[in-house]
Amino acid sequence: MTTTNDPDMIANEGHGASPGASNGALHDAHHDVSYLTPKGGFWATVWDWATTIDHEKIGVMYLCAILFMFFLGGMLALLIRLELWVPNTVIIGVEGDFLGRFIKHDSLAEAGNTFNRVMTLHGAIMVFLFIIPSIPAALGNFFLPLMIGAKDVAFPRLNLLSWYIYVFGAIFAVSAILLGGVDTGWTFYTPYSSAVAADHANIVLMVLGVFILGFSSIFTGLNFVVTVHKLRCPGMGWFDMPLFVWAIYATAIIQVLATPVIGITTLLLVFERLFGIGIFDPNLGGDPVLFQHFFWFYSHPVVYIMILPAMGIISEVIPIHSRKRIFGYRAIAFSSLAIAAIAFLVWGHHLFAAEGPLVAVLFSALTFLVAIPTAVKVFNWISTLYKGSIRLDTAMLYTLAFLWTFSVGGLTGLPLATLATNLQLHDTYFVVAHFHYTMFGGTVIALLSGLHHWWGKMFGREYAERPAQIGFWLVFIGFNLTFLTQFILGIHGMPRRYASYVPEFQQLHQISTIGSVILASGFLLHLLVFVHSLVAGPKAKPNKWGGLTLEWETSSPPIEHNFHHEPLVKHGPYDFDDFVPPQCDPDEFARPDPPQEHPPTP
Amino acid sequence: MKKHKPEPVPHELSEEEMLDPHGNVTHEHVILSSTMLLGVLLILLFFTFMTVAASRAEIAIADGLHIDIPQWVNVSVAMTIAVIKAIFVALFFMQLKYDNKLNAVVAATCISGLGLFLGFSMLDLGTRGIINPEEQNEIQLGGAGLPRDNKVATIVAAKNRYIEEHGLSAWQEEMRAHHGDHLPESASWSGPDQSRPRHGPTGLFDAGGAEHSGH
Amino acid sequence: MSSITSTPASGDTRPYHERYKPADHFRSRDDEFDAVKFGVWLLLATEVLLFAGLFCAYAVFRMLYPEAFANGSHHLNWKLGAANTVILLLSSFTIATSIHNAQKGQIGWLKFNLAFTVLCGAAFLVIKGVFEYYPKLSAGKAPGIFFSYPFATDPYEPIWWGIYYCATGVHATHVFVGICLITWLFIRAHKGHFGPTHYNAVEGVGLYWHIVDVIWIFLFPLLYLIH
Repeated sequence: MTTTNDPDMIANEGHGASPGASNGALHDAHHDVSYLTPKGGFWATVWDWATTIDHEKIGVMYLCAILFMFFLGGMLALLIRLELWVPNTVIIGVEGDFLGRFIKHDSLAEAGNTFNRVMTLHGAIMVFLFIIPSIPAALGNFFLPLMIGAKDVAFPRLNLLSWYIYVFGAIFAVSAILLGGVDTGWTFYTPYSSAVAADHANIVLMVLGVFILGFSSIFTGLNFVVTVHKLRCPGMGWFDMPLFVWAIYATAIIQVLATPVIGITTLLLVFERLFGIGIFDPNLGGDPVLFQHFFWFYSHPVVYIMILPAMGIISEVIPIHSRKRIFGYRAIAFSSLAIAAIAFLVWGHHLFAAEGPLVAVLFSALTFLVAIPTAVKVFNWISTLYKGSIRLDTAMLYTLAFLWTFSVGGLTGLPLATLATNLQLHDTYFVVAHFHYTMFGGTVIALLSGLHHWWGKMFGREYAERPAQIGFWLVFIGFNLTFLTQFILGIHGMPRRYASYVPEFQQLHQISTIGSVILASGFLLHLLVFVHSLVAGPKAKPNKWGGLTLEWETSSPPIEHNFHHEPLVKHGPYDFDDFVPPQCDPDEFARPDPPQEHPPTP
Repeated sequence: MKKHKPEPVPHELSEEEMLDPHGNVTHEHVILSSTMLLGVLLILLFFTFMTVAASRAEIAIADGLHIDIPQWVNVSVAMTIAVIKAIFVALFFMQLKYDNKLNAVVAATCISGLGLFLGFSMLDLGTRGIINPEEQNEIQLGGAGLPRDNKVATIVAAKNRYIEEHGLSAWQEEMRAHHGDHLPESASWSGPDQSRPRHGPTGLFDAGGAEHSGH
Repeated sequence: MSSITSTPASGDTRPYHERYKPADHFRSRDDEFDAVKFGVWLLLATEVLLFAGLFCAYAVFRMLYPEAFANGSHHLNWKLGAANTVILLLSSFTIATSIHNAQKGQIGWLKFNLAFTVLCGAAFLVIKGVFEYYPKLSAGKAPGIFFSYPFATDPYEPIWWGIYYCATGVHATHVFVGICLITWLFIRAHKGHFGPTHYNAVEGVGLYWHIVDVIWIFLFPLLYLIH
């Protein structure tokens, strides 16, 4: 097991929390308190959090921010689903209708405008303010240093700065909403975003918000890359790192390399909008498809910024909750890097309908490459489950759900990568369903899995298992009801981003809407479970699941400097058969029988 | 039945490894001598002189001997010299030659990302009509430098404003002063249908229909 | 990352750079030095990719509208561009030398070289702004909706000016940021913060200043020399 340099500690191993304060040489005693311990009164504590450079607190601050954004985006999604309950544009509709009493419109066209705004804001908030920072900035910030045995990230002040930049960018985006919103779609395609006069100021604000958020993402990624390279604790080679760290590392590389391009794209779009420089405006001789190239050079790799950390969480949860060494450790680690590399070769598949035929063929062929490392991961996870002692708690349930939803999302990507079928399915609900199965079914499901897996470690309180599992079933059923139907709608030709549709689609749309309400109720239940846990949950054990990675070495919640003693790694992160997990009752996570030289003969 | 596992063998850690798993805790810093830095500066200034000289020479040849050197020669000479200069700055001023190889990997990754971005984008915009020439023509007819809410091209509006203020003859005089006798025909650059066909830098990818719409 | 204050601990009379202790998640000064340098290199990668968008726009529109770019390029004075190139190369040299000075503990020379670099940066901006932007803008050679130059002959010349101002403007912004950073270095050098054992900030800002130079090395021929 992982242990320390202190001989007393080695004697102590596996028997509950370590008496960390004994080693005065490494830490002052006051650093050995939980990071959650308030510093004085209310305002002193607020000030302490606002100026903290502790990666744990910054991770928790990110978690709060992204969950708030998820709530905002989710409300907008519900509004969209509600509108699509009936074929005509009525609910966000004209006067006299249900919502028309609150949001009054003079004409159907105006009501459609409102729908466009709601849909754009749902997309922009979910992508730029929720999913991109979600796992890496919240859970990554919290657990990356812990898992590699570091005291903090490499540049703690840059880390805090990145959170403030995130808030600053969010203020821009939210003020665009308060001023009436943007109706361009979250992709801000030109010439619509640059030439059409509506929402002039809002578009500039929103796009500047995205520009600013990019810096936050870059700083987080830069910090993580340096942290992984420079701050691994003694004994931790590259292949002793937990797979979550590999995934975050690959993600961080993408963040560093792709994000500056969206920076210059949004900047040019702002100049285009304000000064009419003509680069993207076809009227002036510019090229709107060039904008699509610029935009997707970032926004395709971003898809992997969203999914890679999710895959990292799955790679952690599966071995720990099935008490089995991960199958194909190196294959999973390298496939993360492979995905990061291929991410930069396939952006053109978002514009098959717009770009020239030569690059379309190239991009289509390259896109299929993504399937290889992704499948490597999925097969390795399934092989790990084989003959494991699987414990079906909420984290594991979500992980198993991920295997289903993400596989559906991935496999439906293949017809979209095929040129001929793509032109048929382009901009239909098939695409909507596909990316919700990967983004929601991938990232959000994995985020929930990770949150339940690490909740006790993060906040020192257990959550109630049974209600959480009910919440899981609500989310899982609701999600599949919402989006499986949309595949069918898409194949039948329902275009995306429309407020009204032909009556034949109504039944499927209604099933989808019912699903979204079930989904929302699942999230509500999860929220209640988490709040209950924080208020009245029982104290969390330091190593509830019997994990071998370093975050289980410290107390729950971790102390300010993370570890009571400098950790030293002497085994791989998933060697469950050979080592007793730290800080656990040895009987609870018993090792298999010791190997015998000569098996007893009958 | 469970497979028998070998007894776990903990990693053998040397004392050095216990201190630091990746590289040395302390190391020498590279100190470049001032004479070397000065030498590099002189080389960079020399190449700056070369690139300017090449550009002036090209203009002199075109003006004096009426030989138009193809554009790609000009571009590749200038870019080659710029790359050489950048390599000198990176290797010596930025110490990449003596530095941790990791930083060189960062630089190389970044350059390949840049190459991918430029390569694919230009490939697309340069090969639109390669299979269906009419696609290229459609795109050609698109832009004519028309601003958002104006009916005339930006440059025509600027010209008209000047003529309104100073009169046509003043404009013609100034125009002659600016452009010599090579006054372009105004018909070739006004109106939304008159934008010129696009030629790639090599002409290799030009669609067949584009050739006879000369300018 | 510096984790100590400027006031010496009681009895410790060593200069700042010798007293300097790295942040306590690093194992040593050199460890922190390497981390800072690696971080700055990653930042430089993002800078290059930021400019990639501008270079890409340049390349694409040059390919599509070569005449407009040839015309536009004729409006630029290569002598001013070349002067700015020489100035930036010189400043790159002085900032590289200032690292050498810090390593050798030559604080006087360090301050001189930093100040010289700031002056070079300022001279660059003056040439750019006063001798290039101002006359061009007042002649109407401006981007987009501000374009009012009456003697243009190619309908796409406003696009050329758009790209010219975006590329040089974003670059000039970087020069300005660099000047601020080097001024900050000068103040710290004046306070005696840098020396053979601690010069992380000089190294990092130096790298940044070099990349600003490298980008200009490409912008200069692209904008001024190629017709």
